[in-house]
Amino acid sequence: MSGTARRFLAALRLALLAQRRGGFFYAYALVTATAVGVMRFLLPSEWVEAALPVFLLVEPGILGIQLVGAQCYLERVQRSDTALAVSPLRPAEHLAAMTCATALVAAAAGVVTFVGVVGLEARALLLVPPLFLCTVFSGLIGFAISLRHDDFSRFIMGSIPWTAVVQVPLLAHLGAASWAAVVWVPTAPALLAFRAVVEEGSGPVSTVAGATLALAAAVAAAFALVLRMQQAARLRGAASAGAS
Amino acid sequence: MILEARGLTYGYPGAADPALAGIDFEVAEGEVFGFLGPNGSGKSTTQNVLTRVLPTYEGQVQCFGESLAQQGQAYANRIGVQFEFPNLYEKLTAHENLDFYRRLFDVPTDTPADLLERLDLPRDDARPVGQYSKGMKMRVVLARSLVNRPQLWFLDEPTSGQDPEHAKAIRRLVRERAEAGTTVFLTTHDMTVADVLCDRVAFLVEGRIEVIDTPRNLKLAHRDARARVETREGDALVAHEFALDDDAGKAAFLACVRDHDVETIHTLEPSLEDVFLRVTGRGLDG
Repeated sequence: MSGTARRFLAALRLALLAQRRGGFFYAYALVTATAVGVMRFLLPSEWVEAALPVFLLVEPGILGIQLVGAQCYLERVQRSDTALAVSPLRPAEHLAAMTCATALVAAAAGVVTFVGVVGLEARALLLVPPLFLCTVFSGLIGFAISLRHDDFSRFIMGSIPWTAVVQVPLLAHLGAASWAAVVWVPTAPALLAFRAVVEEGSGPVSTVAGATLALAAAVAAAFALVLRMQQAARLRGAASAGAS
Repeated sequence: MILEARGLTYGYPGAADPALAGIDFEVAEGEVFGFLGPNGSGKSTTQNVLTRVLPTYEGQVQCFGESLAQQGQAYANRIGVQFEFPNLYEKLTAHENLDFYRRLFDVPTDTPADLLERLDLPRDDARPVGQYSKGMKMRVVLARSLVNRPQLWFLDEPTSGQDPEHAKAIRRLVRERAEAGTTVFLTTHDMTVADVLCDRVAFLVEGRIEVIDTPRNLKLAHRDARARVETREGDALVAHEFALDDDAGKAAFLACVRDHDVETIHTLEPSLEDVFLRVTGRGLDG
């Protein structure tokens, strides 16, 4: 196994362990159970097809930002990131592991939500790529926001506008705006993919593939941006440590 | 030389004065080199440069015979860094913290259980380290810094927060590792630790090195050549002081020892802290 793969897996394992100990899994379980409960027992059946993509976007969209951001914030509070800075773990490996850990859980939660509402169908697996990439994207946003704030309440406040932005494509889904108006939001392709899978429209596979490509490009851009921010934040941290 | 710095300069963005103003030093293999100074003197900045947390600097720094700037990520495999603060994953156990960290290295590592035992920590404690005392946390941090068997070991106040017994054990561990060939770069403002552990020390003030020498040479160079003798005179304890740099003083000293009931004899050599004060004109707390 290459060094990069070994370090990534170690960091991924740590991130999953930290999330479990930090109670993050409960958040996913709660949102998933709520979503399934609402759609199965509260909503009229004709609304379920429209509601399911909404819940599928809310899970990676909101929880991705909040949980990855919270994990990043915890690392900074504990200053465990300073130990990583002098280890062979590269910032990109760390960032990838942290966001992928959350994305794995979110993808699993999304699939469980779909199966819980629709039933055990193979098309549920088509949800995995957009769910995964959408969570990575929103997780990177959460990471970037947490780099800018040293106080948790400020992080929460700072994340609220971005949490709203990643949900903007829902306006098109609900008919309040055209898709052309929301296509600039990187979570729009994910929502289109969710719709394609839920509605079993023509060519869901090509829709999912296209959405996956668009999301991957958004993830790559966000990844590069966050790495630059992380480097700047590290220099700021070193400056304050040096001054103390 | 394992480590060699020439004209090392570092300035933080926006700061009027550089944090490090062209410092020169070298550290030999297996040497315990102490970097001493008050808060804000540039100790942490130096360590951050040498551990590549701060990658941009001016001047020349050679590590393991290569330019520090040219060292790749593999450099981290050869160094161990103990921080002054307990920067651990608080919800994980000590074993989990060490096990995660060891998986990051491309070189042979020590097992967490062995390291924990060496630092007098429980091997299979299910408690998260967040429930440990500060002293225990700091020993986990110290154990983590050793996990990759570093050739160059950076220590920052290694006995901070330890009781006397554990502080002594840590000093012994540092000496053992140095004797086994590990080079130690020790940052501290605890002159007692520096005096006991270091082969050489550098005094750093406001980003400049004032002097580099062995603790013994520094103390000898700044000593008062005097001896203090306490003698018992009936129920009273009487103190006498003698200059030892002239024949009359030496004769008086010998006569005192011969003619009185001596309780204690001390040469009045300065402590390393006294020397620091004399050399730099500053205390260590300021």
